[in-house]
Amino acid sequence: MSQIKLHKKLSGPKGEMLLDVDFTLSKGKITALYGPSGAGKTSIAKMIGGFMKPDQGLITIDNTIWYDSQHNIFKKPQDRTVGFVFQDYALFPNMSIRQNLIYALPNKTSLPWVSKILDVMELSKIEGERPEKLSGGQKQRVALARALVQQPSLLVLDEPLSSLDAQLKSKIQTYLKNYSEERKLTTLLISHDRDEIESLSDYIYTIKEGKIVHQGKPEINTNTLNNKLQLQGKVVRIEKNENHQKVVLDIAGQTITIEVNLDIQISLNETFYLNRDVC
Amino acid sequence: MDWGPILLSFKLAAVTTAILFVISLPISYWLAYTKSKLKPFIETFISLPLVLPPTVLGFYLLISLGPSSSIGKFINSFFDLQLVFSFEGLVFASILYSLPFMVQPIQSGLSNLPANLKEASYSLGKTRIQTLFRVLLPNSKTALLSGIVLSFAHTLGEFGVVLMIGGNIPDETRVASIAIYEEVEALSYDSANHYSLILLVITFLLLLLVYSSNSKIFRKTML
Repeated sequence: MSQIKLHKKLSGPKGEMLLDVDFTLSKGKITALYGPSGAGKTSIAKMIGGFMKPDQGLITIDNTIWYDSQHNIFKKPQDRTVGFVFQDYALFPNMSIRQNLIYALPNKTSLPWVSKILDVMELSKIEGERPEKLSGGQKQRVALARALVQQPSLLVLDEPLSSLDAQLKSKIQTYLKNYSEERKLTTLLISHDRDEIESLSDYIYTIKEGKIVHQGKPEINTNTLNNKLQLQGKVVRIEKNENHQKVVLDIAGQTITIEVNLDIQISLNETFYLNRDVC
Repeated sequence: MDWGPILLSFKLAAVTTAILFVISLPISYWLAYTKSKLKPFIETFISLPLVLPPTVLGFYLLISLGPSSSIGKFINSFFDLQLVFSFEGLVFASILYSLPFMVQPIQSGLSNLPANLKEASYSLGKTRIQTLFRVLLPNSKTALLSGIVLSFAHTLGEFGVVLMIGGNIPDETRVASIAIYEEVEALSYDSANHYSLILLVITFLLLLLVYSSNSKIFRKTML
């Protein structure tokens, strides 16, 4: 179990803001911090990474103390074994993709590991390229690969998948999910993209103006679906009884019947969307 | 034509640039990343030679390093060195005089790099030294080249400081710029012209190297 308790006065464009959060991360699970920009998400990431010092607080990752203001403990970023995927990738421009990954290796004996990750991320063919030649999606994959190479105890992803196309996104999502579970890796995902958060994370903290305003499991678990399923059809018949209403839909020539709660207003001939709000 | 002064100028510029590069790295690194309140004072001190007449710097060096001064006596007895009217003295004065030309480009090169390159390297467990030499400096090549070439060219063009602290001793302190002055005073304009032309051409080529490599990198990043 990992606990993060942070207290810091931040000054942003909107003036001063008090960041005060207390949350836990579970081993092998992906925990998300969700909130609008300016809510303090990136500051939290920076404090976890050791790049910014909190005013007060406690950071324990897998029962190892990284920061404890009461006992004056502050581990340097180098000693924190945290894999960071930065919002703007932060790839080293002077190194090729492969060199970026090799640089991240704690010792040079595990070169096959680099090749394996390059393979999974579908980067093997372009491993000799410099970052400046890559597309946004490729850069993101390199950044993720580089963060995983050092086999961190905590992975922090700052808006990690925003510029990937849907197909690749789902591939990486599956890999990330399996990897976290297999390696018992604690992952913190930071995003303002609700879809990304819901499809990837096991637990969500919603943060607003420096405070946690909501927490819970994702509303729907689309882990197995990856992409959202939505069907639409025309309402051709409605039969109401005491408990519910039966609605017959025409979806591309096929009719299906669904049961809908009575409190949902439906009228004939309207277009009806089948998605997560229908059971 | 006596090539001695030209060669001496190049020797002085090369030695000064090499030493400057080594001592400017930690200074530039500190200035680029420090939040210390001392920063403006250090920056001011380093930039002084940009605006101060070289003779002022030369004058104070002459006074403070001369054989009758306590610093001069100390250096003389401990290191067996005399820092006025000697080549070593010229190197010392040139280092002070060209310091801003090395420190400022490297400092601005480092502070223009995105902050998260450093953070990314630290998060990969790399030390400050590893990060500096493997990530920060290789990505500031233009700045390093500017610093090296500007310091070299600036030292070549030095006159006031050399005259004050070095005098005009052949093969010891008689650099090209001093030789030109002396030739003009002796009304041998031909000789003065030779020295001047060589300095002009070399300085032009050095600056051209900086500007063309800058624009090459600029074009590369624009594409």
